[in-house]
Amino acid sequence: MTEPSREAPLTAAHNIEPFFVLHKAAAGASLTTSRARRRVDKIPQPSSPSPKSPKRPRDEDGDDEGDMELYEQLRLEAFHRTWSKIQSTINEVLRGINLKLFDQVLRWVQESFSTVRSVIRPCPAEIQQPYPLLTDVICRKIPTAFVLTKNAEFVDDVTTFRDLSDHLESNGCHLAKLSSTELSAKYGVAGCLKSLLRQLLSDVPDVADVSALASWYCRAKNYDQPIIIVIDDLEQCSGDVLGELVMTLTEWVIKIPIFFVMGIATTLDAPRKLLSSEALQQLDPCQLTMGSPSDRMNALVEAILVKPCAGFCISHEVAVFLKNYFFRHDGTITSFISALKLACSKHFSVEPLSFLCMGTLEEDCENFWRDKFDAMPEAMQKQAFGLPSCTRENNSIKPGNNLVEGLSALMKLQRDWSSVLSCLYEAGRHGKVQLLDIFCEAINPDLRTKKDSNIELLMSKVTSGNLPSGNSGAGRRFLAQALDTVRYMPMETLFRVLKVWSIHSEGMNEINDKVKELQSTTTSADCMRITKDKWTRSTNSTANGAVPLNEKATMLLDDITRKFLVPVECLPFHEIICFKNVGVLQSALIGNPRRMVQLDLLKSQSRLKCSCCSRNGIAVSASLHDTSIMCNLAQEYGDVINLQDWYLSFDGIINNTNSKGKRKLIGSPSKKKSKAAPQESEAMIQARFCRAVTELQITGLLRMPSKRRPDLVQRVAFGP
Amino acid sequence: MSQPVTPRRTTRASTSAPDSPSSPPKSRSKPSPRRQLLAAAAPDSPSSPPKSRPKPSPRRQLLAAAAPVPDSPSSPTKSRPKSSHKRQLPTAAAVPESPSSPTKPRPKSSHKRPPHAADEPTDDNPLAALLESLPGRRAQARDLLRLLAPAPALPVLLHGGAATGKTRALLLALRHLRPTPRLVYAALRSLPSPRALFASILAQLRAALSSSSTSSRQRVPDKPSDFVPALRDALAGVVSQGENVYLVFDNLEVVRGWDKGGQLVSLLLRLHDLLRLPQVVLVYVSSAAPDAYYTMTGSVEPNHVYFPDYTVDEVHGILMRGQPNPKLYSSFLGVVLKPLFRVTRRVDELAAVLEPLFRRYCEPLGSLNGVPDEAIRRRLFEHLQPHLTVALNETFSVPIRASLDDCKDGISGGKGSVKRQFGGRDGLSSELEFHMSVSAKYLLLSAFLASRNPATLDAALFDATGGTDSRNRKRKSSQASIDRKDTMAEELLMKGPGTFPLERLLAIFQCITSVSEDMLDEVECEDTIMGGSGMNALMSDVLLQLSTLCNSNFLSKSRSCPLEGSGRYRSNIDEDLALKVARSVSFPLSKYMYRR
Repeated sequence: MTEPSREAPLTAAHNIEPFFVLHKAAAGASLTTSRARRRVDKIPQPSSPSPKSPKRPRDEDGDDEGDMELYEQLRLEAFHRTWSKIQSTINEVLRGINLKLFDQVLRWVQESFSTVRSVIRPCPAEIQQPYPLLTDVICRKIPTAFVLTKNAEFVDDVTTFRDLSDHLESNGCHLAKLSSTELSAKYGVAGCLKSLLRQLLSDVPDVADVSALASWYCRAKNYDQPIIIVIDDLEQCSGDVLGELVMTLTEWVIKIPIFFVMGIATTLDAPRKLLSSEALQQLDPCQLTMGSPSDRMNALVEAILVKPCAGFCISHEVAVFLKNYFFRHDGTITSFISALKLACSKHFSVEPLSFLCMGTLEEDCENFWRDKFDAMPEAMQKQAFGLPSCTRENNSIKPGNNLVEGLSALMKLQRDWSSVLSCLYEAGRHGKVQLLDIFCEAINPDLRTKKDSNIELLMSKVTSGNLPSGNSGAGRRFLAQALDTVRYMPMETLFRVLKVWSIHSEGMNEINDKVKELQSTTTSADCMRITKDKWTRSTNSTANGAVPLNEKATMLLDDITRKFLVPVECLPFHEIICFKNVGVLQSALIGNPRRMVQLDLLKSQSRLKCSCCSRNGIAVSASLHDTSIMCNLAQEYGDVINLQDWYLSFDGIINNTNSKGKRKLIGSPSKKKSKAAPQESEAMIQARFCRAVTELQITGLLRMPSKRRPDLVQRVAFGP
Repeated sequence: MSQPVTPRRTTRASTSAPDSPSSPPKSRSKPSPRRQLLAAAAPDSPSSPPKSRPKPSPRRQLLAAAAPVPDSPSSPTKSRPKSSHKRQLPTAAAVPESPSSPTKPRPKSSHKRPPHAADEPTDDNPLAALLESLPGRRAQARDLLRLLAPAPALPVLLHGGAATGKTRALLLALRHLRPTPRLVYAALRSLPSPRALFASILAQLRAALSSSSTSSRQRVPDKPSDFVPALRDALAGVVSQGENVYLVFDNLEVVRGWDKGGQLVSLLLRLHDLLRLPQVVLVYVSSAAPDAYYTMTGSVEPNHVYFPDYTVDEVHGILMRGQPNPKLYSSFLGVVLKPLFRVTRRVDELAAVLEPLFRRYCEPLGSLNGVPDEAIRRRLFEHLQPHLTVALNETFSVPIRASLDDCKDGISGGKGSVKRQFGGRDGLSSELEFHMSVSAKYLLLSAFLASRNPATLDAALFDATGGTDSRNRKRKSSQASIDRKDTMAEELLMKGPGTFPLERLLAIFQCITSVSEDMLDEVECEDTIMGGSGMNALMSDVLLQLSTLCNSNFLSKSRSCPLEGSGRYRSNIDEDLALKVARSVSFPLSKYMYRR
């Protein structure tokens, strides 16, 4: 029963956008309109978190339907609560990462301000006089912080810079933001100044001029704070305008403390390339660096996926897809989060039992589950035990008869899994293992089945894991690397790692004890040995001396890995909390709009399911939308289409509607014309033809004729 | 008597031969060649300040000898004749080209004398203070005082390179005038448009008239033709209160870059004639030589005051001012200034470079109060030397201060950090410093290849057999064709990166991704589904990546129609960056680069 109800909305999700494109185009054209519209209304909207998919069997009694609605509501609520939990976790993590940078910037601002003020502290009258102050300062420079965002893609940093502005503003700085559009040649320096004044002054003078800023700055409440100008994307600014702005502000820098904060996406070469040397000389630069995107990614993965903060998790396939998408395609946190949200919403909309996830957010989750389970209708209870994970033969962990117990066990095992993974990562971190990599391995269900053979592990021990090319080793490359790192770790690092382990393993008593034990032996015996061996470390410590302890730690880690690192997909009832459908994500994220548009144009009958076209089968019928007809016709050509031929065949199809038998006459234009005259005027057909060609051009399926070959259009998209 | 810089009324249109040594101050001299001469001559001249001034030519010496110097028999003597000479020597040179009027000694020169004469006895207090605060600018300060002193004075143009103390000298000189004049100052650099200029000047004048105008917001004139009457009205109001007005246009050269700047410049320079208000003195400050403004005829030409670049010793003197420990700083400058002076002569740039260097210099010292002896000096110099080399190289480019952590590293790391800085500069650091998705990297590489390689070689480079085959074919070709190709390749290099259409970029992208797909799959052999589809799907959002690259200035795009997508692209990255990117995805870039 689950299968069809799951399948239906998915196909709809695949195609919803192209479908609407077609729908819009169809609206004005043919008689199928009303029908099409009705169909559209029937198709559930997958973008809403709770589609009506489980409602499909309409012939059930009203009571059941009421239940369905109730559970739909529950799932919707569960989604909202889960996602808001995840969202707040994300915000917290990102804020934590950014806060370090923000504080650095703030400190820089305060330092620069005190430096500027220590040189001279002009009184308001001096500031307002139009000519420069006579000081002994030889060199006037504008303090400038270059913030390296370390990501060529800028999306993530928009919010970061917004937060930075808020942070600085809340700490009393005057703040103005200049975007790259304002710093473009179109608006020039005057536009920039105007924008600056508009952001700072309440009453903007008619003519933008820095002196207005000066008189504003002299007011008592404004006087003791610097003015920060934030430019978040330096690369996109016009170098001339920015240079001019810098020169303009330089004239005033002693009077008004104006500082720049500029975001650089690439390297420090960017300002060098962008600005003239004269303008560069006026900057007093300072470089600040944001955490790299993969650092943020690691932090997010740790907070959301490794430590299941909201009871929602993803399968191995999905994880690998997200990882690849991040590294190969997009590389932004923004798209990762949106993908996660998509996965979350899909999960709650498709999986009927997913509302049980909410239990993890409750105080007393077992009670919650028990209540829910008791209230569940018979069919749903059955469904729970019919989940593939429970019926699986080769499961190492047998599902009990009780859903509540099963779920509790699932949670417990998940917690253990995350603790062990944290320990592994803590160790692997010192060997440059990324959390995302090791996470993807730890979540791999194949790993569990494979791992039973101990030989592979021995192999990796012997060859110290440097055989990633080997097929067997590739599966657990990073896990092996983490183990190796422990094996060859220097003592001091091992101490620290053990300390973190004992924190991570707090919930698991037996492991915690072992870690504690290990720690105690280390502190007593090895501390002395380290001091002794300090000078002969290269020969002794790594080769012989370190073996016992490192080996013990490695054994422990290996042991707990084997015992507790059970991927979620191997556990019964995991379908309730785990999102597995990678196809939905793939089509939503990668998409291929042009191809989808073409496919939908070609197969519009199958979508519309109208009576007029389906009869004809494969043949192109005139009742189709013009663009669809044209697209079908275009399939017969190579990469260029002769306009004349194309028009003639189009004309033929349109005029064939009322003269069914004349289809063979398409090739002869003269007869066509005489035939066509009464039904559709020549001009009308030409107009429709032109519109269809334009629509095809707009959808990106063909390119208009060039000057060289005016009678040929070029096809851009190929294949069915 | 040859009064060197007597203000005179000259009109360029009038024709007459110069007949007196005090002929008009045409100052047609191109200062720069002479400066070069001076620089060449500098090493063998003793380094006392007056002597390192322009070498007097024989003619000048004659003149100098002939011209009795009326005032200041002391140290300024040498600078004085120099300045007089500078005004006269070019005149002789310029005779055939622009004959100037005979100087009609201005009737007001009688006005002018008394304050100047009054200068003489009171040389000690105000003037001495003025000269004290203008090191190395004695002559210019005197000239300025003389030219500006009585209110009905001719326009003055101060010119000279950047950071030579023009504005400072002017403001200080004006401060010494009695009675204190009304100063209207337009910093053209900080005014974005002519309208802002008009508004600024009129606002300042209206502020002076605070009583009458009640600061009601009056309309700001848009056009210069409206501006002049408004200015005259405002000025007349101020003048009628019995004040002298000094109207200063600073950074005049900026105006030339404005829209219709040429017209505005000539308007500003003609203001004296247009306004005809004797109590208004116009002062122009410009870093461009007066030649740049000789566009108008028939109007009063401003008197010129030239501010030459500072000499080493003057710079030394300026930098020494206000140092808490002069001995220490002097020993520091003795080490550092000469080499840096070869790189730049601007005081502000030097000061910027010297500040961090001095901090380094003092690092080994516990306190800044001691007087270093010879041994300590040597030690300090040894400590400084590596940093000095870096600073010498960096003066050309931008000195970017490292981050806080790096600073700390630098302090603890000493020489290591310097080496690392070098490493960074030479592009030895092989890591890419920022994150880019793999497909964006490949796209960047294909763009680099498309810009770098000639389009005709694409087929050879990207065919199924790879580059080796084509290389063999090349060897067999005749010497002549090889030569031709060589010149072609050279031309290609000279032209810089070429442009390419989107199709070519996508084709190359497809080629190089298909080559490296195998490698990626090897790494990701576990997830076959994902690896395969992931790479295939690289194509799908490639246009998004393209816009990313354009946004970060790696590619530039020309002339495009959103529907046609027919714009041409050009890659802006250099080979270093391309190699770094290639290394980060382990792509054999050099195999695909066309070299002779």
